[in-house]
Amino acid sequence: MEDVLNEALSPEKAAASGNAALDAALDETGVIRAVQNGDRDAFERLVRAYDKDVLRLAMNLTRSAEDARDIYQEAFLKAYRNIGSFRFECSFYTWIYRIVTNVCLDTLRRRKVRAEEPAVVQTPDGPLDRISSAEEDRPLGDPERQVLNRQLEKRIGAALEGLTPRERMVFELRHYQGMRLTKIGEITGTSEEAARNCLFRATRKMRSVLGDLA
Amino acid sequence: MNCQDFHDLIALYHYGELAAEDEERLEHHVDGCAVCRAEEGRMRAIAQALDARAMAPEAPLVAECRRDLMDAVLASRPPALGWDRLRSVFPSFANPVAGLRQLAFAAGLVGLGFLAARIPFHSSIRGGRAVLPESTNVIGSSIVPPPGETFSNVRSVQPDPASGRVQIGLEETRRHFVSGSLADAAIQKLLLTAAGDETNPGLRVESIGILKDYPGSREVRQALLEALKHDPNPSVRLKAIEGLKSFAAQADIRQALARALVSDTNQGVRVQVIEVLTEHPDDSLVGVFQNLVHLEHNNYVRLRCQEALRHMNASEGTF
Repeated sequence: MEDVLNEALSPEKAAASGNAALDAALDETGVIRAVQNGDRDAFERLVRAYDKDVLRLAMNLTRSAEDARDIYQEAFLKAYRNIGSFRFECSFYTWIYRIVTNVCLDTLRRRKVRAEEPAVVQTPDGPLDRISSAEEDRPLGDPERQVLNRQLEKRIGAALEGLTPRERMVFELRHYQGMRLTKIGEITGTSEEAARNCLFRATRKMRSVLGDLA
Repeated sequence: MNCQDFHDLIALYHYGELAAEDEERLEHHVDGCAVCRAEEGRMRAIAQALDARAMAPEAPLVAECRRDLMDAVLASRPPALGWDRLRSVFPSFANPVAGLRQLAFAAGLVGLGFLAARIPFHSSIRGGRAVLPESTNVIGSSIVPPPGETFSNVRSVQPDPASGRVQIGLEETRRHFVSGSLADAAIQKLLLTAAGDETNPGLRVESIGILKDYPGSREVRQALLEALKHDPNPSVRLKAIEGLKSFAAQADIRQALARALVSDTNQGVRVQVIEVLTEHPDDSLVGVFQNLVHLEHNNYVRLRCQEALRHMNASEGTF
C-alpha cells in the first residue's frame, strides 16, 4: 500500500499522467501539513517521493556516492527543520529542489576552494583514480558504459570540472534531470534568461574541450 | 543571423530550448551548411558520451540514506512552526473565551477517557493466544485459571479413553501490574531490568526514557552509561544521552560521550553528543573536535564540530 502511494507521489509519474487517482494520491498538501504538525511518518513519505531524484542529482554532480549521501542528508534535514516556513507559495518540488541545489552548490564551491578532490588521490595501496573507481562501482551488464573509453571518461570529467558550480548545476538539471529552463530558473532563483545564458556558456565550454568527439 | 549565430544556438536547439521560429530558421540553415551540420553532430556525440556516464543510485544506497536520515530526524526537534501556523493550530490564542471553552471540553474528554479505562474489557484472542478472563471456569474440569489476565498456550493433549476425559497441558503467563513512584527502589529495579531486556528494544526505549528523568541514583546513572556505550538501538542511546546531560560536566561521562562522538555509527547520536558536550565547553575536547573536522564523513556532523570549535574559540586545524 505504501509502495503504491510512494509510486503515485513520484513527480515523474505525476507529470506523465493526468489520471485522477494519481492526482488524488498526489495531494501533497495534506502530507506537508501533517509534517508541519510534527508527523515524522508523513515526512518519510515526502522523502520517498523525491529522494531518488535528489540522490541521482547529487551523485552525478559529485561523482561520489559518499558526497551524495552527505548532500542527501543535509538537504532533507534542512527541509525537515524548515518545513514550518513552507507557505505553499510554490510547489514542494520547487522548494525541495531549491534546498538541494543550494546544498550541492555549496559542496561544489567547497571543492573548488579547497581543491581537495583531485582525480587521483594517494591511498595506502598507491594512487587511486577516483573517476575510474567510481565507474567500477557501477553495476555490470551495461555494455554502453563498459565500452566507454577511460580516456574519454577523464576528458569529460575534466570538461565538467572546467564549469563554474552554477554552470555545472544548470547543465546537470537540463541534461541529466531533463528540466526545462523555466523551472531551472525558478529553482536556482534566477530568470529563465539567466539560466539559458548559463546553459549556453556551459555547452560552449564543453564543446571547446570535447569538440573532437564526433 | 549569420553562420556563427546559428553555430551558437546549436546547443539550445539540441535541448529544445529555442523559440519555434528560431528552431525553424536553424534547421533550414543546417540543411544547407556543412559546418553547422558537423557542429550539430558533435553536440549529439558529446550528449551521448555524457549520457553514457550517467550515474544512478542503487537501491541499497537509497535505503541506507533513508535509514540514516530518519535516524537523524528522530534525533532532531520537530519542525519549527511559523507564527501563522501556530495560530492556525491554536486559534484560541486570538479568542481567550473560546479558548477556555475548548480547554474545559478537552478536560472533560480526558476525564471520560480516564473513566473508560477503569472499565474492564476482555477479548477472546490476543496476540494469537487464547486469553482466559479471570471469571473463566471450565465446568467439570480441574482447570481453574487464577485471577488476572492469563495468556495460555496449549502444550500437550492427553486423552483418557477410560474416563472419556482429556488432560490438556497449558503454559500460562500471568501479567501483573504494579505501580509506584520512581523513588521506590523496587520500581527502579524493575525499570532497570526492563532497560536491559535485549529482546525488546521498544521496552528499552520506554524504560530508559523514564529513567533518564530520574538519574539521581548510582544504578540509574550506570544504566544510562551502559545504554550509551553498548545498546545497539540508536533511539535507546539517544534517550540515554538525554539522561546523561545533567552529568555532562563529570569526567567519566564526558569520556563516554567523547568516545560515542568518535565511534558511534549513528550520526543522530553523534550530533546529540556534540550538543551535550558543547553545553560544558572543555579545552580537552578541542582535539577531538579538530580531528573530527578532518575525519568525519558526514557534512552535517562536521559542520556541528566546526560550530563547536567556534563556540570554544578554538581553531579548526591542528597546527
